[in-house]
Amino acid sequence: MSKIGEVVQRARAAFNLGKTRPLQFRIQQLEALRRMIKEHEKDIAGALTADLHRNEWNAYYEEVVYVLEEIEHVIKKLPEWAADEPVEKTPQTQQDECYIHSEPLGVVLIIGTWNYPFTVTVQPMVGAIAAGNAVVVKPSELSENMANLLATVIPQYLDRDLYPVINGGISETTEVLKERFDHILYTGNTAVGKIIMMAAAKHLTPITLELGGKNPCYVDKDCDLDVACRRIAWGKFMNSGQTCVAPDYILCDPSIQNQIVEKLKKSLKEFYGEDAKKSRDYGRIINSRHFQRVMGLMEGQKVAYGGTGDAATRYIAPTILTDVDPQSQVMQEEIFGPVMPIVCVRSLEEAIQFINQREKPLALYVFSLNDKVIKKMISETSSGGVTANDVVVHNSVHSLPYGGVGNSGMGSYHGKKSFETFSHRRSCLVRPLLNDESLKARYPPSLAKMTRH
Amino acid sequence: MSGKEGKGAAKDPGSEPTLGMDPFADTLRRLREAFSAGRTRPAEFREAQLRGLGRFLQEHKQLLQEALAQDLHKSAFESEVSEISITQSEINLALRNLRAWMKDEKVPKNLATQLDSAFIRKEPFGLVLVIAPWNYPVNLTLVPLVGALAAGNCVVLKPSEFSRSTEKVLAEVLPRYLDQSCFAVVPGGPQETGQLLEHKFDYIFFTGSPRVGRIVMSAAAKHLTPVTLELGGKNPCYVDDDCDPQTVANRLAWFRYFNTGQTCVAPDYVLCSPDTQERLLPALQSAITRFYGEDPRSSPDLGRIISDKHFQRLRGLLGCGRVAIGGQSDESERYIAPTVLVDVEEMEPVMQEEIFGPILPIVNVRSLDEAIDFINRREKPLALYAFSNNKQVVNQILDRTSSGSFGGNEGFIYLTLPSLPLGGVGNSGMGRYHGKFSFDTFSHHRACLLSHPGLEKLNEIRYPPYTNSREQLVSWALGSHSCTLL
Repeated sequence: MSKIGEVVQRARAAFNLGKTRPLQFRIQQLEALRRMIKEHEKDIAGALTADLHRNEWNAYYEEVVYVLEEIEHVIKKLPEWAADEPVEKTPQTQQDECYIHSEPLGVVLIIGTWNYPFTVTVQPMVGAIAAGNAVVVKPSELSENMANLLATVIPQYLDRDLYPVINGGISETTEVLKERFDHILYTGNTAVGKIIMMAAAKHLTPITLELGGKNPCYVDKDCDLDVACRRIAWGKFMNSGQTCVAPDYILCDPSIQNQIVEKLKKSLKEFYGEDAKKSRDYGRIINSRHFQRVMGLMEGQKVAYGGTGDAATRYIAPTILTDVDPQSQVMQEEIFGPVMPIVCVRSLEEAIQFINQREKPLALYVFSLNDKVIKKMISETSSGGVTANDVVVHNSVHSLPYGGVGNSGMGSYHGKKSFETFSHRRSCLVRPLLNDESLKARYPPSLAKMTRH
Repeated sequence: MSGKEGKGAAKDPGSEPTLGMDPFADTLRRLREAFSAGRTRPAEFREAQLRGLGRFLQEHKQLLQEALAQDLHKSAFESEVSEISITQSEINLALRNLRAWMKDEKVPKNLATQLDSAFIRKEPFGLVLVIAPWNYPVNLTLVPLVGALAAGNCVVLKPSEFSRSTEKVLAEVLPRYLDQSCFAVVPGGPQETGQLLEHKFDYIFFTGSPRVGRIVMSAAAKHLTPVTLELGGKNPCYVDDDCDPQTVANRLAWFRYFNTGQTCVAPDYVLCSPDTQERLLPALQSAITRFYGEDPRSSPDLGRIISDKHFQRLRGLLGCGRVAIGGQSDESERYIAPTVLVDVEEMEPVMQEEIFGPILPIVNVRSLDEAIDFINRREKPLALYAFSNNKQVVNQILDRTSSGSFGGNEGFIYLTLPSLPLGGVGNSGMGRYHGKFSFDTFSHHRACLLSHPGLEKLNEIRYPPYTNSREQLVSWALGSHSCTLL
């Protein structure tokens, strides 16, 4: 058996011993995870700086805080979530106990990605642990420093058999996917999502796929453009645009395009100064391949701001493109970089049509002071999630499930939804084993019973 | 999350089979266009479809009963109880609750979003494919349909070709009751199903075997189509020494031989001690005689096996262990007597595959622990049953095993509660449905946050540049209970 096979078998054996069943055990593990995060916050920030040029502030506020909040919320709610849930009974089942019983699935695989390498790997772990599973974690090799950190610290705080970290590239991931799991949660791109689902199908393993897409951002004429552009700039350019729920492109009327450009520029200068390269708060592209890819998207476009990059540091300036042709390359793939194309549309209807001709995105944004516009945009489109008059933040509400639809994914998690995703909720009916007289009516022979129609 | 494919581009039709060779392209395009035009969104439309379905059931009840009798020798009683009534109840439940189910579901907010409106919007996926089996061909085709229609989807129904008479009624009569721009029935066999599965659907609901479940999920993977798979397994039934054998036998026999054992949640085999076996056998014989008479073959309440292939398969299983009750069969009628087998070995064929017939093997175990180990060595079943007067025993079985659903001192009566969903786990499936769970299964739950354009001051803290004072905030926040400042 391969080394990876052994690790997975060990996790399964540990699960089968029943260690994770008591809530107390799960809570202890979550508390240990919390301690790990607080005690290693500097190391986490250091890894993020090395991988993505992040700093201690955004390491905390754009990654760590989500996980700490999740742990807090889950520890508090776990006894309630894990309890048997009585359900409404029918007249014939009044004497019975009818309830839904939550159980762990078994061994869960979490495959992380590189853009928020801490959050997307560890936040799902919280729900999986809370639901009583063993969890095999495969961080992304592209965010190398974080992968190494997780492999080092997690075993120092959590049960080593139940929560192993497996590192490696494509061949290790392929190896892991041959093993049988009871749920797989994958964050990444659509192409790999299909491969994961295929692999899962062989074992009938349920999956949660957090994928991506081109998240449209419609800016209405009737809108406070200062506020809108500030918020859009914040969500778009954080982590140098490498955020799955970032607004990917703007749709607006041509009459406000210039104002949008000016206000985005103003906010960008406020955030990152005249030269973002000098800002401690502005990120870098994860690797050369992605750097080349994003730079390529700017070719042939009208650059209203930015448009430059430095391959040596993988820096790409915050860039705004105007009058973008929907057929051009920048509108054909998820940008995942600090390039904001603006596509002009003449009406809300045209914007809606534009959006609906494309794959369902992970997020959709609409800025307007007019409730009717917001309502119409939401009812006539589909996406994983929506925020109106802001961007990204629907992600941070733990009572809202976080997930995609269509090409942007399937399944969801965060908060209670995580617990549900990683549990089997078993329908139970328990009846007293009394004499059967009252049940006589159901038994054959039935001839006597069929007297009415 | 990035890739070289044109994912942002207009939806990719490239994966569809070429026109001309493809009998379904037109139908599917028509349904997609109707969906895009928004036809299925209004509650009134969905209610009209559900009412149409209800009228179909009412007006063709007799036709359906005859079809079920032809396909499975199903008695009028069984047809009523497990096919027609149950479907009608689901329709009525959906009609009564549709508007409430469709409403946005408000959710609690965290501190930072108190001023915003946060809710979950239920939306249809789009084009749904329902692939149904032959054993409850009305129930298992139409109950999923109720959920898919209620949720506002356009639906393609693929009934089973094995329940031929029922398939005919569904293909020829049902469409007249529904809006055919949003609904289609595709009859046919594995070839047609394969061709259908090449196309992109927005949701696939499949009921059938684990083997075919894998094929469906692999096909769905090509289009990233989410699925619900209602599969099967060997549903264990533990009978404790502390029980009244006749009561247990009555319940066991009824749930085992209902629909001639062709029920995905039927008790598949019994685990009990040799002593209990001795008490159960005469009780089972007594129950069988009471239900089906001295000559079960002439009972109108006992069905027949669906096909020659399954009949041969089941007849083969009669050779396992030793026949304690029944064992008779007649090929010309595809009749198999209600049978109990004893002295069955774990490796024999009857213990290696889901039986799906009127044969009940009894396997001896010497303790509760041994029974639990036996169960846990095998794939997670769709259902699991435990009979005991002792509550502790029932609870132990529940706590130390896993299965789709669980019945304590009862068979699959839990199916009559719309508040208890039906679904598997592991090899027995993924996803669940019935009642509101159907509506939720066929809906995308879209997370929505309506933020306030004003009060920008509150957001100040999240914007760069991140100065030293902010870093102090970080240390403070880390030291205390954290809060998000987003």
